[in-house]
Amino acid sequence: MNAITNKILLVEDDIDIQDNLRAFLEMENFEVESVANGKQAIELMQKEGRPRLILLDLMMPIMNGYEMLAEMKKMNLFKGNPSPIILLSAATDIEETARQQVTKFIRKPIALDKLLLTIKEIYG
Amino acid sequence: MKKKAELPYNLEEGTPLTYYRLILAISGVVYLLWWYLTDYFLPHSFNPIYSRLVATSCLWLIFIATYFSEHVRKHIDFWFSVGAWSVTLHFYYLFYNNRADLTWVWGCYMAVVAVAAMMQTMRSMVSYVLYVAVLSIIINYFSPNLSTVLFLPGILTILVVGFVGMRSRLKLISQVRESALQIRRLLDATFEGMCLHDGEFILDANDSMVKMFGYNHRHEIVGKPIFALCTVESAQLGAINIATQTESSYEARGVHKNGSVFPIEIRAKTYTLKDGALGRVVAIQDITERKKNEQTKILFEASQEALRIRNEFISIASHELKTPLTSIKLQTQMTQIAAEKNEAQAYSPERMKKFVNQIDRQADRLANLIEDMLDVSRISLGKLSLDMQPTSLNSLIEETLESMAELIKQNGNEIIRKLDTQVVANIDRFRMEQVLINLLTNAIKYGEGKPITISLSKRGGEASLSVQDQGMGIAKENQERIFARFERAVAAKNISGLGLGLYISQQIVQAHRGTIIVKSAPNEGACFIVNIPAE
Repeated sequence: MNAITNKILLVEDDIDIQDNLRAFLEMENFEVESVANGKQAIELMQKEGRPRLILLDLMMPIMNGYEMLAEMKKMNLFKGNPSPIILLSAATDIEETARQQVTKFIRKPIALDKLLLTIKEIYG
Repeated sequence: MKKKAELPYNLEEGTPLTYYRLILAISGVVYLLWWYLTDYFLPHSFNPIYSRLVATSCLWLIFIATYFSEHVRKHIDFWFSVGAWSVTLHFYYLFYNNRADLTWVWGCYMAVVAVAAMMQTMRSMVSYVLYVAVLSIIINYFSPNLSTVLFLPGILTILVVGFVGMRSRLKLISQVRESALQIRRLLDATFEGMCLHDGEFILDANDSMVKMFGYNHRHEIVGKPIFALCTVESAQLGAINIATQTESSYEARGVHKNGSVFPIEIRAKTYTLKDGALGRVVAIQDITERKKNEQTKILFEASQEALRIRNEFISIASHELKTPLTSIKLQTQMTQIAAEKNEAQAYSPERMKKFVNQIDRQADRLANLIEDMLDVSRISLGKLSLDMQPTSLNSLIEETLESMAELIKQNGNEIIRKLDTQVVANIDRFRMEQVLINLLTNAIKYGEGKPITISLSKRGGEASLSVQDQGMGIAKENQERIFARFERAVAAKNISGLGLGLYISQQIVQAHRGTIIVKSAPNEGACFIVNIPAE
């Protein structure tokens, strides 16, 4: 569980957005694992450990972004060396607890240069 | 028949004026008569006519003065004593002149005791007793031989006994009066109207009750039938509650003195009256304000709800509209980046094809969303027009499935068809396809990739089309709500979409003079059934 992979975990239900972001990140030489909802993301983290970075959408079926953050807290994934999280959402209002749990919030539509800059900042 | 509360004394005004007037008039007549009788029975006594008239006219003058003089009315207790003193003085005058006759001694005793008993206040009684004692001593001084006939000891004994008895009685009365007054003050101070009744007539009521029903004084309602103060329906309800001795509160409608009707809340308790019959203590509250507030609250809540739905819709709509936009923006940005890097494949036919496809799909999605919103506004303006044509529902289903094949494939749902052959109905093909797409989209969205069954049958003059998934299902309490505008069974954060699909579908089906219903239970999937008139 504590193993830190070098991957970016992309959690996004819209296939087109997922596809494009993945293509972009791979073009920038990041390793990307993408899933369609929070539940799959949690399962993947249980299997492969904490990713280097999480890109998280909010509105998703089955398990949404908020629920996933709550679940991660329950699993103590914010303790020790937590994965940084970038929230990607079209929403304007983010719940306060979620705002504190994530590293950065980028509004949709996503400006790719800004996203890249943020990722590079986090990677150091 | 009028009944009044049986209270021992009038507790509010002290001894009423009418009581004094009555006593003055009666004793004026009685004494005059009595002295004439004395003339008849004791023919040789000293009993001059002028002194009789002077004494009794004293009483009558005071009686008459009560009608003219505010001063006498106000100090009637004093003037009553003046009358009593003058009559007593007259007794002693006669008694002194007839001192040889023992009958006069007894007559005098009785008269003094009777007068003392009529005194209404402690002060008037004490002064009267002192007055009589002084008169007795004086008369004894002028005629010492009277002591031999027990005059002084006898009268003093009677006076002391009378005084003590009277004193305790008056004390008791004033205590009872004070405590009863206190209860009355307490009851009058309540905001609630209170009354006693015996099932038919009001026996007593407090100030609030009197004012609540628009009257000025208690006397106006005491004795009235209790049901004269409420509407006929409320009277029936009240009669039932009296019969069943209900003690819980209930609402009714009161009738004001001016005839207007107002809402009241009633609580009553049954008690046993002196004669064993049952009475009720009733507390009544005017709930006009409360009713008004409730009304306002309902309106306020409805508008709050409308506002909430609108705000939620705006947030959902902006999210939904932004999602395809995000996709388009990503595509364009990536193409730009590729072009800037001068990558060979930036404009490759493959890439271009994918690029155009995606943008085209997202543009369609945007167009559909906008179309949905326009449909809703059309429906709410009553402008949904249908172009009805006899159409094969079988071919409609096949064509719809074909157009959705890619989406179905992506989600991995198996489609099971249970179709009767050649079911034809008079429908607007475009609109009915919209309904079917909505139902199938929902089945895919909520169906968790499990098989979806489409059934089509014709029974009598009715075609029945159903779409059944095996997903999470819809709880009973949400089944009605999902057909409302901007509503969905699960929280908005989980599932994308405007929440307009079922609303639009229902409106379209209803415009076809059909019905759409849902049969579902949690975790047992949902089955949407559309019934429309068939050919």
